Amino acid sequence: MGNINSFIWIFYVVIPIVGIVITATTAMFVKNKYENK
Amino acid sequence: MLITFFIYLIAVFIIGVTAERFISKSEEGYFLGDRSFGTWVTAISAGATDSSGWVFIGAAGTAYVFGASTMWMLPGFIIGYYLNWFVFAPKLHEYGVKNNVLSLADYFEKRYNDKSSVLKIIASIIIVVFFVAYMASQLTAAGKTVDVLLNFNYEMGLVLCAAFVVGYAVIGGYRSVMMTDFIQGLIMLAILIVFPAYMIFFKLGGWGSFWEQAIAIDPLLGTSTAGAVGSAAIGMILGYVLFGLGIPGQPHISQRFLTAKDLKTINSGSIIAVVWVTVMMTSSNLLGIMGRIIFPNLEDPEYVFPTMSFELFHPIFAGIVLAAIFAAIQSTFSAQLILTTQAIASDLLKALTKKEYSNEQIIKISRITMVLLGVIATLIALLNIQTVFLLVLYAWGGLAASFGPLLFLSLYTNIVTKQGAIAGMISGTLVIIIWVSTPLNNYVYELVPAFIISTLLILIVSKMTKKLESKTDKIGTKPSI
Repeated sequence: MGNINSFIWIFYVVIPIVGIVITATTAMFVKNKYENK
Repeated sequence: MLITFFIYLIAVFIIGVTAERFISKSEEGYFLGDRSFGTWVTAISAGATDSSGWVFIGAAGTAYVFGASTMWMLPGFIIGYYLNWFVFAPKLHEYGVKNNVLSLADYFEKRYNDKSSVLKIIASIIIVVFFVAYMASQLTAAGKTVDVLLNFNYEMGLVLCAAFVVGYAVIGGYRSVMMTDFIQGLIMLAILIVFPAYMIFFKLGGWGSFWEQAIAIDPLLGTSTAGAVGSAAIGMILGYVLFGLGIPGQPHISQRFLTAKDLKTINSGSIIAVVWVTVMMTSSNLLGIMGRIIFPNLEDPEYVFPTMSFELFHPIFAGIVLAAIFAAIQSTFSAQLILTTQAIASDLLKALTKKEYSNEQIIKISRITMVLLGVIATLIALLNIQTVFLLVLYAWGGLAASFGPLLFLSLYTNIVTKQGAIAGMISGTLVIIIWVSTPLNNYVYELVPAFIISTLLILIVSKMTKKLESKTDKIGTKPSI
């Protein structure tokens, strides 16, 4: 595991998780706006 | 393997045909499925439509050669999906429902109150030209896939793919396309999750061992630029990242936003869509790299995934893999088929004849048009007409640059005039064709100049013609988001 470059973790783990979390957070924020109307 | 594959074909056909029972006998029913689609169907069908056979063939093949560096595509696609679902989709949906918009071309006409229908005609022609070429290329991929996997006749595979899709789409219209896309999307998703996970953790010794084996074969597989340095590396990274930004404005994806049940559907669908594209891009990349480990000397890297499933697995599972590849091809083909049909049999027909047609007439004309389009796409693929296939090179960028900037400006501003919109659409297509055909393409990815020039021309021509424009139909009330 130690031989794996750090960007591999960024490509395959960090970017997917960050992308999904940001999307889910935005969706939740927008949903609250719909419900508060 | 053949049995599994035919079970898939027949099941999809039955799902497609039965969709006809659930739609009204109207143009809105045939081309928009009565705008009744929920979160999962909207999101998965949008993803499946966007992910053609390229996911299993082209993307895996590129990763086979260039390794981890092709993952630069993922951030671009995530940003593209994010913008499409949060920035473009809600406003387009809201305007579409309020103004009974039937297609992207119809949206431009209604948005700019274009009585001459010039906007609709230009948008429809761009859609027809690029999508016919796209459809033929999908059929070619289908023919090659059955040729490699089943040792089936290439022409026979190609005709089989077209016949099945045209068969159900003619009967069930847009709803059949949506429901089959949904099922096909689930098959693709299952394969793309199960296959790489099984291979990495049960056959290749786990995540660390997988990368050690890949790097032992070719150290460049584990690098972020596949050996490119300096400006070449920057150009490569930008090319991959910007590729995904072509998503907003693609007509077959935008249509899903017009047919979603409501705004909440689109909002929840965004999460599924982003998960979808993340799985697609990550898994197809890993498939290519693991293929390089197992079969390092493949003649054609594009067939790494079919070769792996064929050589390593039981025929029943290989049949499911073949079904997944076919699902990717058919879901894209069917979406393009129904949209091209609508562009001709509804948008262009009404714009050119200036006549009203009854629902029965439109559906009848559409069904005939769809069969003819299926025959034309099949003939182009069978005769291997290269000039048409050349258009595929321009299709993704051409559609994105023609519609993306204009769609954004038309949804969020009132500064665009009809003339500005025409300039934006035409310049988007032309810049892509010119740029891709010249060496300039080696330095800057074509979407960059096309987006910039299209946007500038929309703004400049709109400013010049603002006073001439009698009255522009402004977007009604501010969308409730």
